[in-house]
Amino acid sequence: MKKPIFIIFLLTVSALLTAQNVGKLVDTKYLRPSLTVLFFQPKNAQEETIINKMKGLGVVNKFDDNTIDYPYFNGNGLTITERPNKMKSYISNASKLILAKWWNRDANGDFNTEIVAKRGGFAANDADVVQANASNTNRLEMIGSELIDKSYVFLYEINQVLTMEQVYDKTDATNKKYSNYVPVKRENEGYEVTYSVYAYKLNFNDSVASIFYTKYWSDAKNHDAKKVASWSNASFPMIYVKNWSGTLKSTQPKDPKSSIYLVKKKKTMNELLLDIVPSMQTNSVEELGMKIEDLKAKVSVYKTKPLSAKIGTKESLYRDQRFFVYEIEVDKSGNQNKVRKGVARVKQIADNNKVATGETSPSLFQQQGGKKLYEGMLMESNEDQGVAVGIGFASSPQNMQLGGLNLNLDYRISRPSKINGLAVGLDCSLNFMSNLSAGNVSTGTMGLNSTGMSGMTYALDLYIAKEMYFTQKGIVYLRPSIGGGLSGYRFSKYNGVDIPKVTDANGNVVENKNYNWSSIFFPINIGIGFNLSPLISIEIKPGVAFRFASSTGNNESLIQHATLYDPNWGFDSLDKISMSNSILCNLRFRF
Amino acid sequence: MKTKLKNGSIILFLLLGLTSIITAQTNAKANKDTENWRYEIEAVGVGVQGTYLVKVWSYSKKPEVAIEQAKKNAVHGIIFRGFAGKQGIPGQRALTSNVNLEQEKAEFFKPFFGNGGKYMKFVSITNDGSIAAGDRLKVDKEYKIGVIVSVNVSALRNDLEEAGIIKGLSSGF
Repeated sequence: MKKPIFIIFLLTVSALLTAQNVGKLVDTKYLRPSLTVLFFQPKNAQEETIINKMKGLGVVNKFDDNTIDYPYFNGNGLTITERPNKMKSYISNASKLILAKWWNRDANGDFNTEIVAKRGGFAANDADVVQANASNTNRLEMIGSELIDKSYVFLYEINQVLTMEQVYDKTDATNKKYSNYVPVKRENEGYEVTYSVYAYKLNFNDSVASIFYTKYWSDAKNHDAKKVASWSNASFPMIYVKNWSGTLKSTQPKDPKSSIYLVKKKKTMNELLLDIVPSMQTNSVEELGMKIEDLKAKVSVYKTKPLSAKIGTKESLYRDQRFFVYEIEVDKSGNQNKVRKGVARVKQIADNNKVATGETSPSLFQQQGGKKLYEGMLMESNEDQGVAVGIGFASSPQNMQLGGLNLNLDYRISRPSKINGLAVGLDCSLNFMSNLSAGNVSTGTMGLNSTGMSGMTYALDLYIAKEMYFTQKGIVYLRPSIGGGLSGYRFSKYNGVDIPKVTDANGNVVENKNYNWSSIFFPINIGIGFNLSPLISIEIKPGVAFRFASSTGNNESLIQHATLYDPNWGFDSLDKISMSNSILCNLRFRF
Repeated sequence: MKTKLKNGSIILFLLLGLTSIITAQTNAKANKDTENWRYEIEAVGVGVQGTYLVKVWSYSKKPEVAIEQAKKNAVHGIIFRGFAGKQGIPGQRALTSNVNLEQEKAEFFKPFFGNGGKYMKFVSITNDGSIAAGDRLKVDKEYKIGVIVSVNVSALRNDLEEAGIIKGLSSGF
């Protein structure tokens, strides 16, 4: 008797163990979020100006607009411990207005599905539309009701608005305690604004939805006066998600004769203040978009040759926006896991800002490293700051002044320029020299000691570069660049002894500027890069540099009289235009 | 030169032949999986009149094969397996309750489910040409691909009834 029971027990356990488990699933569905923007009570006229301008901007295109008529949050006099609860209570009271917007509540207190259906239709992609056409029920309206759970609130607090005069006062007050304090140059006028954004999400899961439909739903066909009356006390859960703080400046030179006013009009202080607002909105959406999962666009790879996906202006896609591409793997426990297979950036944006028809054009992407990608893989937005830092070594055998330890920093400007891969950067090389002969150098007025020279050289330039890809996987790229800047020698010794300091017109003891030699130079490079990971690439940059107009720190041109000097340091061409080649190797980190 | 050309041609033919064999073997494996009912079928929505809207999960080392096999698996599943319902979507019984029908009527079903066979008349893929991100899964060394298809069950049932494979709904009267 016991034996059959035991066998049955074993078989049952075995079946349970081998049964296909449905474990953790990867969320692959992107549901269009909606946004309500609220504000702390403005403390002064400038804050009110900023808030009014932001209200006028509306919400960014990737959101449905859930603007409501709701008072400011009064945070005056609240302690640090009181603030979070008071803010949450304020936001919770806004929840019924947000739901009233979704369900198009009319003057009689009745709801209808007009807005939900319209937004569901707009949020639907081609696959949803094709499936809906083959279906007997209105699936698109169902999508609309799923969107309600993606309703977000951004509560803005303007912490401080300072004029540039106030910023300079603060800087001087901080620096006064240092012995070598020099007052800051008060060259600019404008504003510096510090602000915080607090993000909340409406919780409209099945349980909350059930309460809404049971306790409050009334429509024109089935009007329920009791439910309409109870709406005044309605409140729905709002979850605090994340916050972010930022500082922005909007400035211009004070001097009306500044050369910048040859190309730009001088703005009023009010105009400078208003200029800050669009960046405040963009930065908030982008920074919180990097932190909040619901705000990250998700889509599947549509085609691979070329790489494309059905996403576009509707999701506020921008040039060079970074996406990670994943394959979903199922482990033995039945859990789904994302495994990154590649990185891609937006190359060409499709205008899909309309209701899908089933034949929407996809946006094109450029893969930038990784393995072979396939249709159906998951693409998820993973935005970066657009900054890259490189560290390496430059070799310039004909003019070692341009070589040495190299650091560069660049910033992607593909969005404002509308050119993929375009960046501006700052490049700096440093080298050291010891006991060199610079020849027989003079200025127009005096001879200079030119033997036993020691010190350092530098080459500093601003450049513009464009990253270009020619292969499908994008492991290798070309990055030509052109720049302009200053290169120079800063001598600390001549004839093997320290260069004596001099006394300037004000009686201060300063460095002898006759031994700071600088030139203008223009480097042109063609970088060849290898993407090792989304973060790191190796770059080899051969190039040429043109140097001319060498002069001392007192702006006197240099003349070379000798024919014998230490070679390869550029001393031969101090009074000529020279061309030298170089090769730079560096490790580049993208953030 | 002639020898090089001859050798190159032989290698090319061998490669082409090998590719064909591999492809045929992959397709044969996929067909075997269908015969062994190694696919999953689930309700997705209520289809328009006379159709079922289902998602078919198929297995293959090559995702492209799984996508093609989905149509075959869908029709096979509607005839022999049926599918369970879920919230708001009714399930459907198999068109036949005879689990041995496929073997008994092998002379009908072999060409019916053959490559380019008649099954293709009754099924269409219901997507925009893309695979949804959550419908491409790697399971161990093969791929599990989900494809939504619409099966014209009315036409399929009529065809099977006319062929005498299944009894008509009114045959009991």
